[in-house]
Amino acid sequence: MRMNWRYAALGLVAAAAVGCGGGGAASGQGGDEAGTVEIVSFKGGYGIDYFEKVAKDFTAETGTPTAVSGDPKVWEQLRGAFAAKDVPDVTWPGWGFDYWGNVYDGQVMAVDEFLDQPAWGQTEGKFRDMFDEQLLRLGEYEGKQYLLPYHVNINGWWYNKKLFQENGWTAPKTFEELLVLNDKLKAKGIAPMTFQGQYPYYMLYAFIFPWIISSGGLEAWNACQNLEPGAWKSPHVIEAARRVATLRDRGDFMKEALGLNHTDSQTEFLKGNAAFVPCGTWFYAEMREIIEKDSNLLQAGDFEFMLPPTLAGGKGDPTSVMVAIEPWIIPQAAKNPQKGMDYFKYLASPEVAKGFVEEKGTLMALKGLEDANYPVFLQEPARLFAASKTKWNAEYRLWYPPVNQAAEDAMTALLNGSITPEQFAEQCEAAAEQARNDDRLVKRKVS
Amino acid sequence: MKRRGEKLFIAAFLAPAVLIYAVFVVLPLIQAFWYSLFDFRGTNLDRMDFVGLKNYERLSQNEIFHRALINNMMLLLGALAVMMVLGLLLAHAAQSDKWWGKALRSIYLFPHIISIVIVGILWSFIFHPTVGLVTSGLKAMGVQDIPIWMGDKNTALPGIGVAFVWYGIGFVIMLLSAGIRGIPQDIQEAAELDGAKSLQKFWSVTWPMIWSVRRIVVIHTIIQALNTFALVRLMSNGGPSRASEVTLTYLYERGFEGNSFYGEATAIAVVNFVLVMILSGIVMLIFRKDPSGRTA
Repeated sequence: MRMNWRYAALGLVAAAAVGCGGGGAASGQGGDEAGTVEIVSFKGGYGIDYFEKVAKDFTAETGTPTAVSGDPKVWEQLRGAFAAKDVPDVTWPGWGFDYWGNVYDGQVMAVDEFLDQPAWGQTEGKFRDMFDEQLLRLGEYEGKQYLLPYHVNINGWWYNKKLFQENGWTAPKTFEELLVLNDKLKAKGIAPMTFQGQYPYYMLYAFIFPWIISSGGLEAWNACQNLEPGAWKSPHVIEAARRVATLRDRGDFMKEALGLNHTDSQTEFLKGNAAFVPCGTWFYAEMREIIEKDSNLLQAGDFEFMLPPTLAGGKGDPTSVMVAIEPWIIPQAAKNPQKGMDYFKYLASPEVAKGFVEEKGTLMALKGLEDANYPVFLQEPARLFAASKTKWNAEYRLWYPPVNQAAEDAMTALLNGSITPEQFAEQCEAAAEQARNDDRLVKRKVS
Repeated sequence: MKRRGEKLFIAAFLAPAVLIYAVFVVLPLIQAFWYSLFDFRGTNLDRMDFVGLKNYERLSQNEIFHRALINNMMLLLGALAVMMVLGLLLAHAAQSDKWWGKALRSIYLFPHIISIVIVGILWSFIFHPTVGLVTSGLKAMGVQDIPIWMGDKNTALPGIGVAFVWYGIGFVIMLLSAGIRGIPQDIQEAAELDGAKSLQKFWSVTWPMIWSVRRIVVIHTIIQALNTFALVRLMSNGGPSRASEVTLTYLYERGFEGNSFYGEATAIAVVNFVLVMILSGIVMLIFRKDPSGRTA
């Protein structure tokens, strides 16, 4: 493995300063000039077994040797590998990877040439036509495509369908309906909502951003993402924060939620201690082990996905869905980029992609999967996803992490009652102002 | 004056250690300072912009960093006071030949030999807001308004302080015990013959005689408190709303959690290092002379 001495020294300093090991873990990930396709993947709730199985089939079909590896924190290993230019041929680097930082630094290959080739098994047409256009666009920068969306998550709320059916309740469609239902829940001694207090972005995604869009339309949210002056303290942001304050002041949130992490809060929901929990479509994959071990918890089919209730009189499209892509990339220094892309094309071919949907239970950024057999917990998200006229994303989170961190701090403070909705908006706007003036942050616009 | 051959002989023995120290300690420190003068993301070292002291200027205007520094100092002062008082009491108790003294001697170092990661996880469970030991205990006693510990801005940092003391006190007891045992018996007996009571004996004999040990305890605690990372990361992740943020968790956020402000993160590491050096230097100055006139 070729090791950049400067990176080695840098890693040593950082590891020593932080007190945690990190450097050098990328050893052995480098692409093979002899032709083996090196595939490195995030090993989260979906594991890497499917990618390994597909790699075997790919090898059998093409004769191209493959090597698949993964890690739950693969982005930490890839940081060193990218700096040392000792990279895999294709990778899903996971949610902790600084995608855009690597694009800006020339470490990610523009894949337009590959996207203009035919899809796997085709002799004509373009591979890019297989993708949902709105989602493919999320991976563009300066007119070039860098990120390849594969599976996607949509964010929303999960509710206790079993409880609702037993009581003849329906999922609330508007904020006003939510308040009525919450009173009924509290009368039964059930907390209406729990949340992942240690990770405030869940609540930004579940409450604030959807309600900004519901109040002011997508343009109000995009103005925030584009760091337009005053956008973060617009009446729509304040209105969204006010709704959270209303729920807080009514005692609609589980009291302990501010101290809970994601799995704890989701377990409280599965125990029936709260009727709603905000989470994306990865919910079942994340909780599968706990659910399968304990039959006293809600089981698949007992809970259901819904979009956040809308605000009456708002400008937003009620079918709006927040989508997050989980992109793959081809590193700029890949030794076999075409073969890496061939593996990805194979992975994205309809039969293989359908297998991923059915085995792992996720939505996809690819077309032509309408007849896939979605598991029971994914049927409603799939319906909402297909019916959505507006797919939106929190792209600012990767573009301007300091703004996101300030919004998360403000979210926690709003939930614990330390600040008012107006202060929430002011704190976010102050962070946006700082980001506008920070020349380290590449300025982006929602396309 | 030593002969040349003898000097070479000594140098030959010193060289490997000096070389290893220079390569693995001195050089990275110099490089850390050098990298703190650049803006870069740590992803491509061919793209680094020299910005001079701008990263330090940014830190001087960064309220979150200031908060983290204050939290570090609060953790240090709180933990130091508790560990010194509790450590001395327990170190004295551990001198006893009664059963409790023996029991204490066999267990006091136990928390310190556990991995700090395990300690963080353990105390996260203890302070868990629904099923934690503390909450359950208080509920059993009929307490109504129980804080949510790591989710409460008033209890998050003190809670981490408790875990910090639990983890570190064993080492402090060990140091103080060694110091107390090192006091010559004849001095103790002389004090008793002069009619000194227990407390007088402590203030007139034990406290001054463990001077050098106290210095080590203070410096060790400074280093530990300013380099706290895992406990905060695991127990509160610096929250809620920065209430328990410390410099190294903030360093991690700025350098590794999507921000990729690698130069600024390195500047935080440098500031932290310098702070440890300054505080340790002040302690050395305060403890410069022991009561018997020896110089440190």
